[in-house]
Amino acid sequence: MSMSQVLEENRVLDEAGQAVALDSLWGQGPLVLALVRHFG
Amino acid sequence: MQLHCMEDELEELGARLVVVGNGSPSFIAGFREKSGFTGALYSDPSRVLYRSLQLERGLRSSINGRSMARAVSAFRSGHRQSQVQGDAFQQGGVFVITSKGESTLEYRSQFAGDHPTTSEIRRAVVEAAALSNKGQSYDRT
Repeated sequence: MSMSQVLEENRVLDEAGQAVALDSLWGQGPLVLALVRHFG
Repeated sequence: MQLHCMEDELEELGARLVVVGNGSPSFIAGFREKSGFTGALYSDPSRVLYRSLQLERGLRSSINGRSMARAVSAFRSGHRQSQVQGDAFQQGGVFVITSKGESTLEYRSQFAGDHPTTSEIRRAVVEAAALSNKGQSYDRT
């Protein structure tokens, strides 16, 4: 799966538990996507 | 490495930092308070994104000699591990992606405490910004 596909097909949840499309999170510049181990 | 400490620098380079955890979204507020991070913060409790990006998960990557050494080093620096809110066996990663969806950095942590350096991230962002701007210039002609 290409990075573009990953961004198009995946969603994450905001603080209210609402689903947000990953590809909606950035615009014209680069995106630094950091996945942390956990919230602890 | 505390990536959110680079937030201002990343913004100056034209990049946006998005942090994703894997606990319940209800943990986000507490994470903000503890870390001081005010930027974009989301959760992937099902870890579908983690699997899509092929991030490591397992006991061996979480508890081994290297992760213990990093834990001791972090402890000596004053960092304290609080209660885990998410999957304790899941590893993280950092990805720098151009506006076209191409990656200039794909860093998958191999063990707890394994992170890219700030210079690796900075270099990847500069490259991604150049590629993104290149595309925009082309689109305008």
